[in-house]
Amino acid sequence: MSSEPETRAGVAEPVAPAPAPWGARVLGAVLLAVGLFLLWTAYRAAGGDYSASGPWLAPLVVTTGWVVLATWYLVGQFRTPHRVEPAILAESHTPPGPEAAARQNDEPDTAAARKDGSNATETRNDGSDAVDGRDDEPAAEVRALPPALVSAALLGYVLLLAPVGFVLASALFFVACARILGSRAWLRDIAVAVPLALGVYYGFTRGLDITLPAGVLPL
Amino acid sequence: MNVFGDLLSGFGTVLEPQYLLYAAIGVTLGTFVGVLPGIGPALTIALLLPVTFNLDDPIGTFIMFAGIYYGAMYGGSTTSILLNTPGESASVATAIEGYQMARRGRARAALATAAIGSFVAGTISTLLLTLFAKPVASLAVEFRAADYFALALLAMVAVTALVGRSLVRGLISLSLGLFLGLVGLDELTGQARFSFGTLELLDGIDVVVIIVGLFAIGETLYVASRLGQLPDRVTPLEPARGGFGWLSRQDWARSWRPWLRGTAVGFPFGALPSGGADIPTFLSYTYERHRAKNKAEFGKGAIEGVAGPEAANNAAFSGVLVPLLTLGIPTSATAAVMLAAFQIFNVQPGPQLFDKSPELVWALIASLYVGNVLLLLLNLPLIRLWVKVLQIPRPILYAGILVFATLGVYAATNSVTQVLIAYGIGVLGFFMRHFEFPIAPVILGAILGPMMELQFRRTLVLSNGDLSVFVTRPLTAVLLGLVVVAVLVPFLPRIVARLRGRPATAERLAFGEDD
Repeated sequence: MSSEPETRAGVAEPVAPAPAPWGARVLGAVLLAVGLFLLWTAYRAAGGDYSASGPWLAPLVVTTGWVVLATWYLVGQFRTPHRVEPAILAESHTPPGPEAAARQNDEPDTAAARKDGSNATETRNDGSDAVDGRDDEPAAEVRALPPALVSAALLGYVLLLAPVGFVLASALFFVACARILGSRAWLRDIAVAVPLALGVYYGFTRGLDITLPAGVLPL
Repeated sequence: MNVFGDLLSGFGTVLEPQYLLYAAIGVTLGTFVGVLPGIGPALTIALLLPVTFNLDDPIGTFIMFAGIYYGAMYGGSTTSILLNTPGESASVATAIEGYQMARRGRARAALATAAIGSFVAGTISTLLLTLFAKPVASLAVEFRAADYFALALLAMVAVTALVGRSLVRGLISLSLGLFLGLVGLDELTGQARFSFGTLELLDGIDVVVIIVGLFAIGETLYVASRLGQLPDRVTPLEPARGGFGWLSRQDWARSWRPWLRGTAVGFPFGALPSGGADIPTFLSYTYERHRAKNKAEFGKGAIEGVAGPEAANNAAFSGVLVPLLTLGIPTSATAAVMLAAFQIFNVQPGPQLFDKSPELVWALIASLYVGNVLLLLLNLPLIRLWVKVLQIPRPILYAGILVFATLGVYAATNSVTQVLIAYGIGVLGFFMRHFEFPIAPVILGAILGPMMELQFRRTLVLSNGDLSVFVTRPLTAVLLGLVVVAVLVPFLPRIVARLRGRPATAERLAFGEDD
């Protein structure tokens, strides 16, 4: 989803010897560890029941497959560090596909268009976003703090849902989340959040007969 | 009664005012949500599922779903053209030329050729669906458990192998989906699997939870990590030329052949287990570019490059409905969500569906025609409204998506734990996007895996544990052979190159990205 063609710019550009993909290696190791844990769980639960029509064949097959694939992935990350997936694709050889074609005409003026079109509500980096942040160097231009904060806000939201009620929790979360995502217009956010939460609450509880927690507000 | 008699009675149902209203609501809701950047049809349907929980009218609901789907697809093409933010990989091809057209002041022509092309393709392919559905269903009656096992495996593996750029990452995604599908009570023996001693996991993980987690939560977290990189300027519409002057005579002349060709590519690829609309849209784009008299125009806003892929996208959906309705096998992420919607109403698609609930099936098919017409009538005139929707500031948009995602899961499951599971899957989805793992195989694995396992074990129970049934029954053996072919196809260029004694420089075939 939403993989805007220009974020794939790396495909068309010659592959520079990027630093070793440590993130991918850690991921591979985590995948392998989780796979082994799940395989062990399935193996223990099966207790020797490997009959093909029994309930434990599928878990064992799936988790074994997981372990094999995670190993394949992990080994791939160590073999040729400058490529994401050396065993299968040589990204430097990708011909200028449709995306690349579109991009070539795209870059100069979109960057310009974006600068003057930059919205006051969003924090933005410099105009270097034509450089890919996804293919080889996932670390470039990626910030870990906003997603972490959004996750924390979500956690707070769902935990508040029952005790505080849908309307209040949603409105609070909405404003907080918009703020994390770069909004600096408190009043506008509140003006959207409160009617939205109330409208959804009444629409669902009265219109669709779906129960939502009322919480502390006398609704 | 022949097919057209069935269809007529379907129309008889759909054209009742209340159902027309359902269709209109569906189309409008679908377009509204589909226009939002980054939201594709699969997530649109998943987010709107709760709306239908307490409707006790399955026919009305499915008519609404057909409308939602068409609306979402159309809304997605609007977003691709005006904002260059395709909500799903099937719109990526449209975005290439469509956005260029919009930037050169031809947004209206691009939107019109997309809309009319979708209408033409939707109508023709729904006609094909009408003709093919019943014969395929009566063929499918012959299918045994072993065939279903092989079909489910084929659908899963084909999508994983053909869509996306890396086989190993696709297969890891698939394993994750299969694992998520395993969690919970085993259907046949009632044993708890991977529930880790908790009661909450005994019921398994709902597909809606997985979809909302991966698409809505995962996507938003991904956006949050890259706040500075989003295109946020909507290309303005050029002033209207009055009346129906959206397409010039020349535009029509250049559009109609790509529409028909796109339809011709889209429907069969949709019907085959090949991942829905991703492959046909790219094939159509590539084909139109090769054929074009004026190749230089491609990449700068060639109308053929919008007309063809959009038609293919729409035709593929009717194609996807063939295996979904007749076999109960979803072949794309969106079809998987549709299947989940069917299951909420205890409707099990498959060969029996045409005998058990013919009025539902034919009303659904008739509603596809109606939805198509409504879409054409509603959308071009309402384009200014959709442009307004596109201009919603991103922080508000994504905060809203998260509220609706939470609401959707909570309303579906009435459990805080399930919401937490959705969040957890969302975090997973974030890392999957970050490391370029495709999303669609997770959903197909989660929905097809349990189906596959059930059929596998059923086969073995019937054959007294004799595994040879999978190779001695010709149909099953052929289907399993196709699974092997599907895995090898992406490597064809390399294999051919090696056979000719050249170094394997050719890349792996890949179409689109995911979902």
